[in-house]
Amino acid sequence: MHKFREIIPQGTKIDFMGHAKYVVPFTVTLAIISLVWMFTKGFNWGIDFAGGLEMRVEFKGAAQNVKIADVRKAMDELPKALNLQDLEVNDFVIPGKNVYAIKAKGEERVARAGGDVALHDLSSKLLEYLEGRYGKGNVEIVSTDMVGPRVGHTLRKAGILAVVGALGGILVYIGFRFDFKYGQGAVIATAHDVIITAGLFAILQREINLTAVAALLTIAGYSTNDTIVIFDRIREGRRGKYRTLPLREAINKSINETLSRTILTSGVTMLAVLAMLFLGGETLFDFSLAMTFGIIIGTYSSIFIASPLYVWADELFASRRKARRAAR
Amino acid sequence: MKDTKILIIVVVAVISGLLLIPTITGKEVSWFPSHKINLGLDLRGGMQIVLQVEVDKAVRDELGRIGQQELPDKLKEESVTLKKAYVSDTADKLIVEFNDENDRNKARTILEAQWKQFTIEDTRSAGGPALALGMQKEVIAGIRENALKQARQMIDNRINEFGVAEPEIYTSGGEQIIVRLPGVVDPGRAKQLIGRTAVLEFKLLTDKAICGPTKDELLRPYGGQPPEGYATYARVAKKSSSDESGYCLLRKTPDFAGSYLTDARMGFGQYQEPEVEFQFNQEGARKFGELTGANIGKQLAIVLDNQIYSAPVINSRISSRGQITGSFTPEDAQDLAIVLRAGALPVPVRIEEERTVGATLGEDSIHRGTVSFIVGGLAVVFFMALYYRTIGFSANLALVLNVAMVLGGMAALGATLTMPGIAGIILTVGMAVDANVIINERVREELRLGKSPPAAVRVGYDRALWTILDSHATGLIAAAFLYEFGTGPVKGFGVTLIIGLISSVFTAIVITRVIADRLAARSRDTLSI
Repeated sequence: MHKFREIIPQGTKIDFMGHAKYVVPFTVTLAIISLVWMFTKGFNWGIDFAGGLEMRVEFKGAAQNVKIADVRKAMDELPKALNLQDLEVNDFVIPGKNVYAIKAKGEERVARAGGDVALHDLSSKLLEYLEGRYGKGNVEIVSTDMVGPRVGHTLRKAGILAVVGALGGILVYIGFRFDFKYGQGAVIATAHDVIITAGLFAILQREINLTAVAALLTIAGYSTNDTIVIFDRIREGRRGKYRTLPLREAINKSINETLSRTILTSGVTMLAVLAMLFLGGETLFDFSLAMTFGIIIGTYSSIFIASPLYVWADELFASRRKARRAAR
Repeated sequence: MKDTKILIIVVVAVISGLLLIPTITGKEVSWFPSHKINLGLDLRGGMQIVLQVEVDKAVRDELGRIGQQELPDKLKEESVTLKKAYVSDTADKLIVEFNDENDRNKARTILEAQWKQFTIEDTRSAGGPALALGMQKEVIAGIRENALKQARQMIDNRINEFGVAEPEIYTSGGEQIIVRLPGVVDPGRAKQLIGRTAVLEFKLLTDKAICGPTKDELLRPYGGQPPEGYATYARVAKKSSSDESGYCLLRKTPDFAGSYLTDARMGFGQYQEPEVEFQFNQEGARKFGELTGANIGKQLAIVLDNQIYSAPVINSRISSRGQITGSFTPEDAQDLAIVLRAGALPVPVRIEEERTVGATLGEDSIHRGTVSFIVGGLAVVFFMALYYRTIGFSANLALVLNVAMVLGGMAALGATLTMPGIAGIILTVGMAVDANVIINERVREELRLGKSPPAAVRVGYDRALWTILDSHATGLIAAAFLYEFGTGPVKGFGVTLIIGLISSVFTAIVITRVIADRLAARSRDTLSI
């Protein structure tokens, strides 16, 4: 007969619904920790949302050997008139180049900064200062991001709107294609993934910027996609060959059947994302990090969050129906 | 049926390929409906500026103008005296004060009958009985829109004169202008050129107007606040002469406006220092002649955007020409001339967002994006071929076509490829693979049940169809929100994702199906899947 290359051997029978008893409390705790962390410690909003100035500067020529400590010292000695204290200086990796990122974050700080200098002139003034210190031609701007307080506000609103809107849209679609019992499971599972990934950003204090929001939305899309594939299978089973089986058992069978697909898809997507994580450089790093994490969580939440929620909703509806019938 | 499908596939593949010709060869073909794929500023380098246009000031100015001219004229005509008219703090109403209730009521009747563009209400102000004239919402919206449009036009002119290839300038959200300048530009210069309001005014130093080294000294006689109708203006520091620094107290209303300017050029002064020479039109020359002729011996301040560039003594009647001196570099003088020539913005603008990417980072991003795309793609392709063998190759063919369709689609739509966009394509690869995995696993199941390969392929594809459509639809919803609410690079990510999801459905359901059907028809009892 047919011989296939298989990761998950045929006839695998894992009692997912049984394990869910232990996994759900664990992962719900994780989500709660994430939420608490988000609301107490808060996000490290990047300048896209918090406003501010970030400049990546290359040192070359005579300034080729400038070290990060030198740049920090230079920033400490900035003219008082610029009113820009405590600038962050970080490495910025471009192979073969000596580049540092200089950052002034926060709308109040930026509004305060500059004194008589307009916000948009700050980057020019900083460059002027560095050129004065290291010689013209020895410093070059690799990139500049300046976001005024008002834009930061608009961007933050748009970002939140995008995440909430996407989740709502997905709920409507699933409600339309399946029914509420499935819909709530899929959306709660997806929200769970988004919350935990956002929580990871809060805990690691990695910056939330436009790209991070894009990553969160992509995770939302990916996670729902994964859940839908499993739900499709559960529904098909319940209407067909597993009609007579108890609900939990039927779901276990359906999940086991789709298991190789779940693992394969996650694994293959992960291959692509890992390539970005390790080779994509600074611009893609945060995005790939969120994606890597999101794919793992998205995969297990389809099995351990979405499916048990469906069981729970189904049993709730069934017991209500029974109660109503008994009342009659 | 099968032949039509093959035909469709071939047509799609050929079109995608054709659409990519300009991108691959690097040459634009004039008769061809496709262009090179636009690279975002993050990949090709360049600058993006978001300007906040103070459109509310246009409304305030208009209200002020009506309060100073039209309203007094109108009421004079009807012989009603008004005490004072001024713009409310909220900048959407004109407050008109009267000496008594009687005057106010008369004015109210007249205005209510004739000035339909205002809503008129009684109000009391510190000065006594008053009317509040509120502008209709539509009128306000019109003024704002007009100010934005004009500002856009002016910035357009300036950039055209400056000479940047392929600039993009558009308005956004009712009070913003977004300017994109691709390629390597001098950010400092570009900002000077775009962000300057360029209002040129001439103000006589008469009456209370004087200059001094510090603000405090100028304001001391007035108790620290400038007298009504006056304001302090900073003098632009000059390297050569130390006496011309500090501040001047000048009237707010100019004695002569720069709007009569017809031309401005860079020139050189008597010590060969760069300066900007300008010329007035006929009407301007006449008026300027009158003003200077009547004020010989006095100082005339040349004020640009509320900064005093110089305040020379008028030695003789001047009519059509003048110059602005300052410590200009030749570039400064040239840019200022461009700005003056192109005209002043109707209202001030503020640079709210600035993003610059140098060529170094752009190149590095392209390089890294390509490398991670190739490595990730190859890893996926190898895995698919190893795992699904013959069918794996068909999935890989679909994958390649998919990427070609995404890029071709972007070229056709004139979409912009950004760094997140590259990530979007990589993710599309993941989604396309998922569709194939879903199908292949289904087909395997049917084969295990003992179905013949053709039957297994048919049932497998049919069963997988809705799963794939559902999963792609939710992906599309997320992508649509990214596109709608994202800005810049994130929007680019949304675009690639949307195109990618659509082409992924097509490649998975149509293309691989044709191949699988053929393979299954040829293999009697086993299928290499």
